[in-house]
Amino acid sequence: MNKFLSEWNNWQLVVALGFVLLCALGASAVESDYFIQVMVLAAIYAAVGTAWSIAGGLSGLLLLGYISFFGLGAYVDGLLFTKMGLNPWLCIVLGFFSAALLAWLISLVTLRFGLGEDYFAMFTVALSQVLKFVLLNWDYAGGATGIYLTVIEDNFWTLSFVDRKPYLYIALVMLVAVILVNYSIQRSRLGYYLAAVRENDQAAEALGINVRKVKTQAMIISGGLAGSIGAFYTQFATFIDPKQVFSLATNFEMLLGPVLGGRLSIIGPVLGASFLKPTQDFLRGWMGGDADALYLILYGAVLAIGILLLPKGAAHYVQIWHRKRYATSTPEEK
Amino acid sequence: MSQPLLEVRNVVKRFGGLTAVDHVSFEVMPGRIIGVIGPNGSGKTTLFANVSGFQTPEEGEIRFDGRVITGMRPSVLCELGIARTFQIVQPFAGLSVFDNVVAGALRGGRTGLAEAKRKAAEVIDLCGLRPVSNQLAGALPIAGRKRLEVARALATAPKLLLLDEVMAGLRPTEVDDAIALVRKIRDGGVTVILVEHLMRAVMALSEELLVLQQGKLIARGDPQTVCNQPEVIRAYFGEARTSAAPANAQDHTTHA
Repeated sequence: MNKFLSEWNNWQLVVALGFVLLCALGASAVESDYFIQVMVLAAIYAAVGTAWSIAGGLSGLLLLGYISFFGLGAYVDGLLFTKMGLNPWLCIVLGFFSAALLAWLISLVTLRFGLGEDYFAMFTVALSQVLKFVLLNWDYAGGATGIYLTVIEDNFWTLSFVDRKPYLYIALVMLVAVILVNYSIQRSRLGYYLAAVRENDQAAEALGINVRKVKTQAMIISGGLAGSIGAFYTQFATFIDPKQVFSLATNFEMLLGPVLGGRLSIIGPVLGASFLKPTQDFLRGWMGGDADALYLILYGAVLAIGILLLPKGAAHYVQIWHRKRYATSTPEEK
Repeated sequence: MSQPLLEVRNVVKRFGGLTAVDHVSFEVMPGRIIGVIGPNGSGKTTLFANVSGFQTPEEGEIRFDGRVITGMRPSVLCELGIARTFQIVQPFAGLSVFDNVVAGALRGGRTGLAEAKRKAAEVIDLCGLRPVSNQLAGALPIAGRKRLEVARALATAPKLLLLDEVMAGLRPTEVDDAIALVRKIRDGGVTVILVEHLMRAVMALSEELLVLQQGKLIARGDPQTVCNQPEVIRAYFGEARTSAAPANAQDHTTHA
């Protein structure tokens, strides 16, 4: 067990899964619907953050506009569920594929023409806003009014619950799934390629690694996962509109967890979002609706200071501790 | 004998008005160690970049193992069996030395992870990196980084290894180790082309020497003979030896 934990990724996996389990157990004691609501959102943000870190962290892409995938998944679910009565679980799967397709197209366009990383970042941000305006003007999809889902009964099969708790458990299961994907990638060959590409793409190319292909793979996995989570979000929120699921403010809030927590780590996005999202919700509640601007200023300040003080994320310091802690017990190569 | 492993025919590479590689042709037989020398800016690194696919020549043809490879991507060429090191070392600084070599040993997906780790351990031993294999590559001193550069390229199991100044900046004892390492690599069946300024290493290793000057191949052949050719001496030392101008001689002789 000690040998297992001496590897940083294994240690992170155990901590992250333990934390999720703790949340699940703790939630059974929570009465307030509001608290459960906050926890579901935190779990969703944690899952999105962990999924983002595959492309935005591991592959080193400056994927600044990430909400496109989440929003697309949300709309795929909203449309297919309300218009065609498709099963929501199927919609979650389709959310993955549609967002993965979008990620593939983005990679095709940007990487094919060798867009610099700053332009890549701007392109992704701009694209999310283009999608927002397309949906705002698309009457069939509800336009600016958005899409409402009606929940009348408890039914696991149609992913509808009157009580909020089942949503939390499903969100936590999704979070675990994303954590496991991230963990397995880091242990696989793809993990080595991503690390090589991130550290030095020219040297990676010289070692036979197809840089463009590897980045595209990271984008597809990362985008697809966000699409699935977006589809689930629609079922949970029962209401979506373009200004909400393609919101730039939400976009940056979602990236805050992994950026401050550590975008190369597993615990960073998970614990980062779990801490930040509730803090943000309580701040908003405490300062009230008319203090929205003030709250954004405070949030922006926290983000800026955090990035300045912790460029590698909080997890980096945990990793240093971890290396010291297990330094003596790993004298030889695996 | 067998066919050449590498054939470079009339390769031209221009950067704007500057012809960095000017109609260069040569071939390399398998199992040899070839040295490439020439003054700074003579086109050695550019020649490497063209052979390894990082640049595409404007004219000419490069053949490897009998097939035309001109214009292919570096990752494809690596699969075919050409590996290179970089003059300015490019380690994956945030990864351990071991993981750096594993990234090479995966050979772009043609080797499984377990097999790649085994192979990486082997290469690390060969290159004498075992004591530092758990360290972060970014923390290595220059000699270690140069070794890592060689190890990573070697881990891709190349047929042809292009070494770009792997001895620059090393101490004399480290140079001796590096010379021994290059010999070991060749004895393992890898053909080696090395660009090097350090004449001691070039003379000790090369079985054949190519001399570039201003992008042109001005001499080629047995190292001793080549170094005594007047064109080569002129390229390196100017006119001092051939013309009687002792007044300026000290500039040139200090380099020897």
